[in-house]
Amino acid sequence: MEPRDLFEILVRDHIDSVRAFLLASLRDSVAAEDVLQETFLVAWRILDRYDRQLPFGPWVRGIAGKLLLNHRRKLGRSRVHFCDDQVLGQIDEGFRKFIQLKGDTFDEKLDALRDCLGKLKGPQREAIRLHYEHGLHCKEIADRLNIGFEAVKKHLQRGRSMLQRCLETKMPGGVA
Amino acid sequence: MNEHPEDAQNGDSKPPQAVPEAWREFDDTLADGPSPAQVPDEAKVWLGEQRFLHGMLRALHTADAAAREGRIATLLERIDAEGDAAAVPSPRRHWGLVSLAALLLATLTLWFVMPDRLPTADAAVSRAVAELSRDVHRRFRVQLVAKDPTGKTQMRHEFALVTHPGMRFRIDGKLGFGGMQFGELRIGCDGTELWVLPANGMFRRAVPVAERERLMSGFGEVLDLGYLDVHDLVQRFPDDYDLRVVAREAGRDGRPSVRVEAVRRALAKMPLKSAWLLCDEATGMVTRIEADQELRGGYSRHLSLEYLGEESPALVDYRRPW
Repeated sequence: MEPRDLFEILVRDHIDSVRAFLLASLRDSVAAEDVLQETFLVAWRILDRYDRQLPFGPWVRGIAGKLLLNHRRKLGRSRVHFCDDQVLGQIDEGFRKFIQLKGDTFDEKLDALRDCLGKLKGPQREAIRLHYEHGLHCKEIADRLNIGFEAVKKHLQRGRSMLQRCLETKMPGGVA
Repeated sequence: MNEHPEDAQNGDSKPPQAVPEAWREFDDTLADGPSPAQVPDEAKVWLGEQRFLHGMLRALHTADAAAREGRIATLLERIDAEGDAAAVPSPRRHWGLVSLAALLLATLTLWFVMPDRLPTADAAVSRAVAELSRDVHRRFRVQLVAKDPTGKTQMRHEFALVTHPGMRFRIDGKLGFGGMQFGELRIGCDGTELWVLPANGMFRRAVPVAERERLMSGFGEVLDLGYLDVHDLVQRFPDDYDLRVVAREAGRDGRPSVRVEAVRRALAKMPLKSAWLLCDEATGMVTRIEADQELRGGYSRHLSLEYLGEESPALVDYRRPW
């Protein structure tokens, strides 16, 4: 198999997880698309450095992480969320665990998150739905739910933590 | 700390552990404005978890099969375009090929006239210096081993070095200084400032490059920064060492290379007692340096540098990370 063909398979297998990795740190989704392209272009240029005994995902996310750190320095702290090696390592750890979920593709594995979202109740569910599905800002959600801005932030943060706990129960060895 | 009674409504989504109120402000995904410059280490696990879910939820709600195919197609087009650009010779490249052909012809002629003739050591080192002075970033694997007078290994450092002419370098690896073991450590220099950052973030330091010796002496002077500016290191060999080509051998990836031996002259300033360099015959690049240094009291140090290739500029930043 030609390297270019092999690389296309790797791109198809990993582009969604790398995109999610970048969306975790870049505010602007257009900038995330640019860095996503740059990540795989760099990966292609240095493919001879990739150890084929090791999984491709962590390697290509490592490239994305370096590009993120460089973007944060160049573009400033209002464009890229706080990140350093430790935080990026934690985010990467989330993806390492996520790929252990049932399903062959990233989208199939996302079914676990869809299921967890379905089980989320109360103001956390509403806040997450309005923020991520409808794209409302915290202030708009606060007005819609008639609660304070800080309360919205807490509901979103607690909702994410609950989703994390729920995902962990679906991983191999997880306790429901 | 926070406790919310509504958590009990959330099915099998277990209630999250309470987090200190102050940590919530470090989550910069929910408000505009600059993100925090620093976050305490103890908050980073929670922050990483929040950000992982933030990315997953954004990805989930923007998943679009047509957009996915579009971004893959764009990427593959760009990769193919890069390949085409490399394959189609530009007019300048055309002249380059003519020059290369002329050079090859001249080399072949010399080959028949003077079979087995090796380049002179000075020529090989000059080519290496010229190659190292190019405006590119280069990656090396470095090993530094120190031994006591009995030959027992006292310390062994292995790290990745990315370097660029002009005292710009970056080290990532496990290093120990004297009795202090730092584990993962990063050291960098952007040409004006030298910085050190242990993985745990403690004891981080930055000093102007003119004061680099002061910073390194604080770490037991185990690491001689002079070795890390590879361009400068190789450039100084002809002044202080007797150089001679001793063999032609297979270098990196089996490429034809010449081995240059360097023996220090009597009044030399450089501390390395002896060294050998392997220079790629096609590119002129030095692909390996092995050097020995004698220290006071019968102690010794061995330096090994192996060239791994050029580094993409997008992946390099020599400035301090904080």
